[in-house]
Amino acid sequence: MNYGSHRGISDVNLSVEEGEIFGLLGPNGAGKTTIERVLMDIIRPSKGHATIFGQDCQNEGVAIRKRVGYLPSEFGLYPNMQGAAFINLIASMQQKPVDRAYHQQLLERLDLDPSRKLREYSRGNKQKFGIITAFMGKPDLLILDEPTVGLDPLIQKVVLELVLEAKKEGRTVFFSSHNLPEVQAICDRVGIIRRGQLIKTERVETLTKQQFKRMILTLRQTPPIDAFFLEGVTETGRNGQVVMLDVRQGLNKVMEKAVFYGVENIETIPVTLEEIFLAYYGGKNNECDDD
Amino acid sequence: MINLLKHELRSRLGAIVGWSISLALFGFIYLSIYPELRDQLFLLGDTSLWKAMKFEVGSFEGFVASIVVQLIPVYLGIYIIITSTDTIAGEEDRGILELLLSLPLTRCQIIAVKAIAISVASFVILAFAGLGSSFTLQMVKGSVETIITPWSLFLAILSGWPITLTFIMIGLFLSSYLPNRRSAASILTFLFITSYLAETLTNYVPSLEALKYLSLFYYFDSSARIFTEGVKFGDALILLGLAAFFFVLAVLSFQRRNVTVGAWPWQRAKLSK
Repeated sequence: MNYGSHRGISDVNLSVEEGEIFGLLGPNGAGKTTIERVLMDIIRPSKGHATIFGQDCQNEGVAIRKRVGYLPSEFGLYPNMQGAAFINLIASMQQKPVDRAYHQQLLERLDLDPSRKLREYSRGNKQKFGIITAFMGKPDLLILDEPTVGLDPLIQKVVLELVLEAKKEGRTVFFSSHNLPEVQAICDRVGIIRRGQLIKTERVETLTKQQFKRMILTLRQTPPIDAFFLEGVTETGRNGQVVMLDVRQGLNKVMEKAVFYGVENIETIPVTLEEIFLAYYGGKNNECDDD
Repeated sequence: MINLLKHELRSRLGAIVGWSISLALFGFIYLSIYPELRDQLFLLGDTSLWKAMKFEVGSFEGFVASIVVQLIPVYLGIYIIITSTDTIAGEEDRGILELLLSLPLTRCQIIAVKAIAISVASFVILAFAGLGSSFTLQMVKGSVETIITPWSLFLAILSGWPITLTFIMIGLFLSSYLPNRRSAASILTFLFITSYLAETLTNYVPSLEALKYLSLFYYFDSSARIFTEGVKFGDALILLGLAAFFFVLAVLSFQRRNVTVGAWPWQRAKLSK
């Protein structure tokens, strides 16, 4: 879909399994927020459709939203309202029974005192209100857009624990984040989105293991500078007889060369999701500002 | 939905109190100073410009109709422009609308609640302004001979509600149709002022008379006749019909709106359904 002069999303075909944590990755402007807004029927697609729980997001949005907790990336609060009154208002409109104990537990775990007017809270504390309203109804599906933005590291940890607890209870979480280590730590699967198109969907461990291998070769002889100029191989560093390589394909050719110069040691290093993500984007974050 | 309505009304309480007191005070001031200004106003009564402005200040009934009954809805227009254009476009700008749309409410319910809340708020403000003015009339009645009763003044002031409601719904429509609050408020202000001026100018310039039907203020009787002939229900129905029409337009354009995108209507993509 497109809107105005803005690029939207196109050819996004993805499904999220019940009970999994699915992470959506992409730089600013890639289309992550647009996908989440389409799911919440905040933006309506010009072509195609989205379904949640087998129901059409546009036509059966009310039934869907009864079972979904949503945290927008940027949201406003009623500035003159007291924090506790705001939470109660949202709870009353979510049309779900309120679990007071869980509600209280969320306040305590997020270290939030809701007795003040909302305009008096800092950005991070406002984010906590969004998190509480998304989680408090224990929805079957959580859609969280950058849930840890603006939070201190301790509270970020609490939010990730809440996400993992939701998964443990069999609930599904769909979330987007720029924080790749946190995505790698908690997500079952990730989707990488670029310029409005989903370019890869994979299990996190598969992605980190299969995408490319980072090798450190310690050789007996110093190889010439072009020794590893091979297709699918990038030399990322060198220190005398020690050569660092990222190998996407042609591992056998690399091994042949290594044997030719004499192998003393071969070490493979686990690749992080961040490195894979940067590989997809050529190390550049070159999307536009608007998500 | 009821909880949202309660919240919307509660959040308007400050504005209701403030505007009610201000407009009641406006009625109080003009009614209470009339006995002192009576002679000067009588001399001004025949001035054609005053007549063109629909100010019939030569008699007490004309003065009350022209100043109090006519101007209270005009001043209330400021509140209407601010509030009605803030509902969709304004709340979208502030990020509140996205949160509301994530709740299990239809868009129709959301806009209906907001329309009801502003309509009730404007009615209550007019009612309090009417009560204040009627109370003042009762106080000054000893020094002025008039056919106006407190009840007829109260009803005359309340008769400003249909035109107020029409502008609320136009504001709501503009707010849901245009990409931002600034555009909606600018256009509504323009419509409000031109509609008011068109009605007064068509009184003054005979060649423009045919245009008077286009002004919404034409359907709002703020002449002294309102105290003798009563409220014209036909005109009130026309205004209520227009209000209903613009409410339907507001609902339809809100259904089409891609919230948070801020595109102009011609930039919006056609929906798949």
